[in-house]
Amino acid sequence: MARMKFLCDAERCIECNACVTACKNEHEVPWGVNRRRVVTIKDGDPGERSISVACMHCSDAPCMAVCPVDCFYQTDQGVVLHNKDLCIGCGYCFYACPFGAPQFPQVGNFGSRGKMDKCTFCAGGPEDDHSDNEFKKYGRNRLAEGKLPLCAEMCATKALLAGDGDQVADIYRERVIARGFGSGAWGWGRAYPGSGS
Amino acid sequence: MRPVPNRRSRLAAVFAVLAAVLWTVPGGDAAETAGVSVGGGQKTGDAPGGLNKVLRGHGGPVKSIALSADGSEALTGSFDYSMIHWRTGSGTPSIIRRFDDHDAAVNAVRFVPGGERVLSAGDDGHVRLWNLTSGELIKRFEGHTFKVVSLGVSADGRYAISAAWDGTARVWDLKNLAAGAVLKGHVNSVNAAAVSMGGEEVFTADYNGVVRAFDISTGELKRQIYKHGWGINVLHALPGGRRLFFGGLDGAVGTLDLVSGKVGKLLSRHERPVLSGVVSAKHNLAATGGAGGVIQVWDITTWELKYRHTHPFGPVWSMALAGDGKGLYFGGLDDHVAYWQMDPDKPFEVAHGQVPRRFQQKDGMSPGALQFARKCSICHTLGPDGSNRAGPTLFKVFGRKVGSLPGYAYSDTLKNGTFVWNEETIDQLFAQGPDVFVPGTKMPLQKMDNAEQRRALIEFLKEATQEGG
Repeated sequence: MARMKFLCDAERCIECNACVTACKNEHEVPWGVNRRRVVTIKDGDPGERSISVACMHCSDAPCMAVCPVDCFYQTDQGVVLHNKDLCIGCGYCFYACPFGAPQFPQVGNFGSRGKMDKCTFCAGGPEDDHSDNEFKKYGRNRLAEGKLPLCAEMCATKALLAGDGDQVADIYRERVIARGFGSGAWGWGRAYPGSGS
Repeated sequence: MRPVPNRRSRLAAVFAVLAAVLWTVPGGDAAETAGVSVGGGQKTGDAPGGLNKVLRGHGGPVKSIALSADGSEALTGSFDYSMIHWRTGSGTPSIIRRFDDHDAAVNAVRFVPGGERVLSAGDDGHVRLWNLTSGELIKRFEGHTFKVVSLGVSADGRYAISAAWDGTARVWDLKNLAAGAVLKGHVNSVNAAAVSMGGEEVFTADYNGVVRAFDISTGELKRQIYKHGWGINVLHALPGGRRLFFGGLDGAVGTLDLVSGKVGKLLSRHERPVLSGVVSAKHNLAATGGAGGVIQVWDITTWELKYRHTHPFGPVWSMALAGDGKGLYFGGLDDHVAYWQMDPDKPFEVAHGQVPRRFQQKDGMSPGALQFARKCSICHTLGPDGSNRAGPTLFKVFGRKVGSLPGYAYSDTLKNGTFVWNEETIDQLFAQGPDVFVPGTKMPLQKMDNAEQRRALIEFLKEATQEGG
């Protein structure tokens, strides 16, 4: 079984935000929520870099460890998903995540803390595959259709890679050899410790 | 099939785990050092080695800590919907008063300089001003539409600032008890807010790592000071009025020059997000706590790293320097506030490597017990004395009229409810969700679609909530 992983090659990301737009469009993500975003560091200064960031579906996901209501689970492909019916919107996962992935859409109900929303690796959620409930709560289940996340498929420079972790690592390794330097795979070591690159 | 332990052995195992956690809190040597006897018949300080500095009384994780100017009193805010006022001078800490009138978790607490007033704010989006002596709620400031995560107060006690995940920060006039300016322009959540040393400006930090300066009177955006890229969670004004102290999602810690907008000092970073921080002009110290449990303390003149501590049980969400500047209170996922004696540093002995908290249990329980531990225990206890969590104790819940347990601050919906909790109503509560079954309840929206899991949970509750259960 493939172990799904993301890799963002910061040497290639041009901050076009196509990944962000593709994600929002594919899943009809509400206004104010960005399951994926592009972070630019040292903006305007030497050493400026942009990195496309979303939930990395970490091997030992810190969000899962701190959730007080056990709403997270990991699929047999390594994708970290959560059950919005169980989520109480406490925000603990936000504070645990090194990628700032958990999002909290505002809701109108008094006393409600809302439900956390995040990248699903285009793998839907605990509802039946392709059901209306699954789409409303979690977005499109592209993995069940045999497709990979749209953000990576849309990436014009192929900075963002998604798929089987071994294949992703091989592609990046070849790039590093070809260009003669690495250091672009931001977050890989943190999300998947011990998996090399 | 996994053998199911009987009820008594299950509870004994849970208590053994909890005791193991409690007995490995830093500061364990402090009682011997201070010569303070331990015990006293309450939960505080009855563990081997003495835990005389530990603040024990909340029924949920502690998200915020503040100490009075002289360090003799403390405030803590918790997931259990309460703020507690503590006596923290010499001797064993004790609870002075519990402030229960919140509709959701309390994320931020503050003393207001120059009086006996304090502030609390949290997930319900309200900022509350209290009289500390009488316990009276002076004013509930409303305006935020989402959770408030940070509070700041001007040095003269005139203004309070709240930062919220609705994308705004707000100014509250504590003299006239009126709403002040709304600080807009943030693209996403505002994670931190601080008032300038002179009291004229408010600084905010948001999810996108942008630090802005606003006029405290008019709310006018004066300038964007800095853009970090990664979110900034911690922001404090430094003495002298020319720099800010910040900590970010990427683990970065540093100072910002308010004039140039450049990073002044970049300090030793945390490997995980920075979640808490404190600056003390009195003790010339600044400290940060991270998601990985690391606490770092610097001298704010030389920026030498003076102390470093790793809390082995997870994130440090809140912190406050002790009155003598030689120790630090900190809170995280546990129900108590721990104490770390920095100077002289005391060894920290970890008796157990990775002790799961009650809501982190993964096995060794029946399916129903596991459902309760993983999904309900953060808010509810099962025994007769467990009323201080976010929800009421479930002791003898079967046959109890809704909203009728004395001492718990129910919502009007439940107070006015007429039905009785039984297998059917509890099943419907989780099948439909609290927002549908009892609209207006303070209970978070939570459903369990799986009928088998609901049945297992109810079977467990029927047994565990009985007298002697």
